[in-house]
Amino acid sequence: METRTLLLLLLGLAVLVVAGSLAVGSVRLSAADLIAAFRGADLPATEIVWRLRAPRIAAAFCAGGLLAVAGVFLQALLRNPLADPYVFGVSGGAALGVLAAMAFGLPAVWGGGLGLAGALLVALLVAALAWRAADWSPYRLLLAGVVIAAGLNALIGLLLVLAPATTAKGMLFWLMGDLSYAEPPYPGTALLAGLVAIGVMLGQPMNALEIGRLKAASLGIEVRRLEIALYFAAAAATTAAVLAGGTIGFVGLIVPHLIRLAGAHDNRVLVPASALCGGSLLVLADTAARSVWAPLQLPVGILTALAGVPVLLLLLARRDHAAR
Amino acid sequence: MLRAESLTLRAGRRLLVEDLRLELAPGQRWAVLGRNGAGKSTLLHALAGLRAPDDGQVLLEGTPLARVPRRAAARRIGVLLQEETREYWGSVRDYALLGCYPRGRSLFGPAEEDRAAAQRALYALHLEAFADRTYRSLSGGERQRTRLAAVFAQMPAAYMLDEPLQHLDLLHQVTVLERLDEEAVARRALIVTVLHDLAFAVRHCDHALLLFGDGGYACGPIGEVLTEAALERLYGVALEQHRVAGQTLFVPRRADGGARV
Repeated sequence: METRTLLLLLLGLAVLVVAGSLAVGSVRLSAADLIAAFRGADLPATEIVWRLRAPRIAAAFCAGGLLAVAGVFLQALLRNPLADPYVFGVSGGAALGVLAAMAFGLPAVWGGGLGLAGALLVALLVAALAWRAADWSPYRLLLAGVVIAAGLNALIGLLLVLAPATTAKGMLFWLMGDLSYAEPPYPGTALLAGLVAIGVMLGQPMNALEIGRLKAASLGIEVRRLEIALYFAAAAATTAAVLAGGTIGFVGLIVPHLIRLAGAHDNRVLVPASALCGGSLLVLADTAARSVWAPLQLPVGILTALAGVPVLLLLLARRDHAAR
Repeated sequence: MLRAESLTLRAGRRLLVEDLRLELAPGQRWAVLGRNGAGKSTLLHALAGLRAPDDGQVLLEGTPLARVPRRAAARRIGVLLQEETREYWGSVRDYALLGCYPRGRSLFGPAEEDRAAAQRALYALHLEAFADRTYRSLSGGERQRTRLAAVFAQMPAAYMLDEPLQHLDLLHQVTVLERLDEEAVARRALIVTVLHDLAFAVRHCDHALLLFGDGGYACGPIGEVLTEAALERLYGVALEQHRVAGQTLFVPRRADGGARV
């Protein structure tokens, strides 16, 4: 597919999904209601759109975009198609912080602060563990990340067991990915826009890095500096997404592959396309999560996982087919 | 242009090159010869600044390579790697355009001159019909030509080529070597090639560097360095020297005393 067509299609999809999501919910809104709300008419619809739905949709789009972009960065950094934003345990660090605040009944601000601190600590720890003799290897980075992530999972499990039963349910819900407490995502949106811009600029170096470190270096790329940038960019994106809506699975892994399947491998296209696609898909999933079993709300992470598994299997089948 | 000062290279504990002193000037064509594992690639990487020396240093126009920014070094030195870690997903043209990255003038796609440079390189290696094919779909020799095209598109002042002839048919071996001769003569480019074919080394190079694999080396004008004795020591193969069509040929001596069909 032509690059411009793909990006325009994804932009159209994003607009459509966001408009649809604004209309769907316990109160169904018509196109006329939406237009009236956008004009700021003094109607209940305006209140519903701007107060209730818009912030949550914005948060979902932002988290989805961040996860997908983090996935692209990590897949380029590790030269591994199965890399996803959660491999390094940065998400575990953020989740542990937020869950600890929930378990001890601290106010939400504490959750954000502790989550941020946890993520930063883990990001630095994993980088330090992978660093040896003034260099790191993606392999050691992956290994250190997986080990730290496993340890953090154990701690999260411990926290869930020790927390009082009523709190534990809320914690579990959040852990699976839940956007119902999402705040308007101003910092997250700025981060997403910044990371997409950085991703487009670093696109060609990332393309070269995928061929190999030596190849990239021979083309004048400061490989280690690029890898450090990708690592911390992915860590920041993952942290912001987890703080917004828990550990929502599969988006970061699958979205980049969907875009590649549409024919775009070039990272200069892959980054913005993944951001658009990831955002749209998470808005779609979150709309389903809050409306399918309404008034019951499902954790959106369960839906992304349920939808993600068949997509991943389909991808595998297509890849086998292509290999033959 | 490039100078190695007391350059020492090791692979783990093994000594590859010890105390190498070498002066590489523009317009010179060097053949780097040696057995498998003698350190030819490692030396090439060190000369291109892709690997830090274990001792000594490499100077690019008087500045230690370690202090030259990677981008600036890549504008001067083009490298053909012996192998690449992962397959490239894009088209042959995209691959050739990667070679233009070091010059990179624009954020938004390649400049017109870069496209032209890539196109010229594709033509030179008879790849124009393959330009829109994916790199993955090519045969081994076609891939090698694509990788060479990317280095030509880079238009470097120094070519560091690790086995540029591998996988190539005779036509393209000759095409590549003649194209390099042109670069050396017309653009005064420095050419350093790792070769295994002595006939091509004699035909297309004016200097040679022999790596004996134990840290020892010999270097200089090719007529002085390529002697029967030095080459027998280098490869551990008994050789006989012939002159055919005005060119020196080194042929392995046959174990059966020379009986021919």
